[in-house]
Amino acid sequence: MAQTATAPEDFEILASFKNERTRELAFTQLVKKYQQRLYWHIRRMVVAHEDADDILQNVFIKVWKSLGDFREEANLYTWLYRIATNESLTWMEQQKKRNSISLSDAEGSIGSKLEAEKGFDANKLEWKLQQAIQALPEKQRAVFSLRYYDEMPYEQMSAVLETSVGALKASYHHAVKKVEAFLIND
Amino acid sequence: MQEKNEIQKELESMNSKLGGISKAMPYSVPDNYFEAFTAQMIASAKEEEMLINLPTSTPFETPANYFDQLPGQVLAAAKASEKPRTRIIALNGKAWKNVRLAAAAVLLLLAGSGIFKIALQQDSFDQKIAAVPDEAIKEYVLQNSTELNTGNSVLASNTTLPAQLTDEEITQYLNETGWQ
Repeated sequence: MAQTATAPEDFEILASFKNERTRELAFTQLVKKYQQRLYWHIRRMVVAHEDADDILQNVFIKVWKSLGDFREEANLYTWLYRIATNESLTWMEQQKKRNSISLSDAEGSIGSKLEAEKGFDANKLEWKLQQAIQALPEKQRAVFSLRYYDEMPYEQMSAVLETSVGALKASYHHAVKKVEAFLIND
Repeated sequence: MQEKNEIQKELESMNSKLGGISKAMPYSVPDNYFEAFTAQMIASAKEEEMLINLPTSTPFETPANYFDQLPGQVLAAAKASEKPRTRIIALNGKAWKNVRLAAAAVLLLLAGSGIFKIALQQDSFDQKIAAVPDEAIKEYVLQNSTELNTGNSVLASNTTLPAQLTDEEITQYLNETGWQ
């Protein structure tokens, strides 16, 4: 997150992007500013680095293609998170379909990917917390990740997930209870 | 993030102990991943743009006046390969109505002519009978009385029938022989 300290403001990036001469520079600034936040948001949902890397690249390609049409009154930060969240949810949906028709269900599951991670130790609290998060339904996983890790205000989460603030509060509350129950019982 | 205290307070209000757990991610990331990622993204974006901006024209050339002559050549080839075909007439609503009316008229004509013919034959038979003099009829009856006498009929000649048969017995016989 240290990279964001000297990063230009979003409106400056948008203005530079509209100029053909400074377009590439603006995109570089945007990637540098948001790559880590988006990467970790994606990775918390899909676990494996290779998958997170693929999704993140798709996200920035989409950004490159459509940033020129981005409405300046909208929030660039929430727009980026929305793309990243949607890409992750779509990817997880595809994985679920693929696993449902594949004989090697166990290999493709998020749980098995988590156990395959370098340094995985089911007895350590940080890994157990990740296991608990992966046990949540996909959309609730996104809600928990945005609130707990990214500390995003509910209003912004509402813009990212296109869901009401009330529904998000209820979802997060349930997610916290489920995660705690997992940590206590498992 | 300014929300940090709010997040902690929210977890406390839920009586959750998650606020006390470290948020450090245990996942590892390849060395220099983020440093290399930006350059990689720029390259990918340029590649994407190059693909989008590929020229739509082709470097190939066509013979002189090729497209001017093509329609005529295609038409000639099409005519040469043309075979006699069964003509299919598409019937629109009006045509269907005419077909139905024509069919109905034919049916009426056929039916009408049949009835007329039967009626004509019936009239002809009755007229012929009426034209026969009564004397001739009487003479015919007298000459053919043996054939007209029911005593000589097939039933009368069947001597195997019992003299006295009840209605029930007759019904049973007809049932058994499949006549009823």
